[in-house]
Amino acid sequence: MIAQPMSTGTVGIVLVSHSAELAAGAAHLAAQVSGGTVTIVAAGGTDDDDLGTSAAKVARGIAEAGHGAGVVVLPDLGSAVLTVRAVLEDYGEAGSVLLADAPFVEGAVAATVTAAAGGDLKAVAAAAEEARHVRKL
Amino acid sequence: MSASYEPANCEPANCEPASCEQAIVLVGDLHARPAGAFAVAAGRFASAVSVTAGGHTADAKSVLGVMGLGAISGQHVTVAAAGPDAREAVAALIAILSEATKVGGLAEVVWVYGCRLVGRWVDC
Repeated sequence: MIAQPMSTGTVGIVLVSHSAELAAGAAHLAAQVSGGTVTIVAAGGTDDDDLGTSAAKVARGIAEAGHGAGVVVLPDLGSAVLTVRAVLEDYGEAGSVLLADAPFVEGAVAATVTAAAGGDLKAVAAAAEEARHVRKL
Repeated sequence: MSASYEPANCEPANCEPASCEQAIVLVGDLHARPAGAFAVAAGRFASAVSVTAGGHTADAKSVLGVMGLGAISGQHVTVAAAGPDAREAVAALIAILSEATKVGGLAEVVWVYGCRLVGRWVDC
């Protein structure tokens, strides 16, 4: 897991990927683009770092990223959503955690930049979800 | 070709109702990290801020929109703001474009290719 320096008051980001390397790489990229002030936690791979997702890693990620103004969780592929939803059902503070429906890399970067600028939980999740409408060509 | 470090050229008369704009010529390409620094800074202002390059305009607070402009060294870029802190936003963002494209460009070149940046030229 990659955790950037803790910053109280900003929204934290949890990146849930089937691949540990993909989650870690996206977290590294988002941290570089946003200046490294936001807590970004990579929760990728199964418990033994095979391809897949881990409820335990997601739960730890949310706890680790949740010291600021809430947490936005970005899943990479559909079945990661199932894992995240299962964790959120047990989490008990659903109001402070939002699951964003967004392209993984672009959403991670957009969400993290908006968090770094001081955006609130809804603004950060919206930035991630708007990423699907931004053309790169 | 030089970057502007001066505050936005925004006379009070031009700022009523609070809006302001200034253009600069980029000294480096607007890659991911400088675009990130720009969007983070833009997001801290209350004013609506836009950035225009090559005939396309993006929300300055959207890092993906800013990166999508594909603004490169030598290109004219205009920052425009409307709102209560428009003047401060334009001044700050023009300064960031000046600095971030230079510093970010240097860091990116050295980091990715192990080359040296001399002025605007890469020395490998």
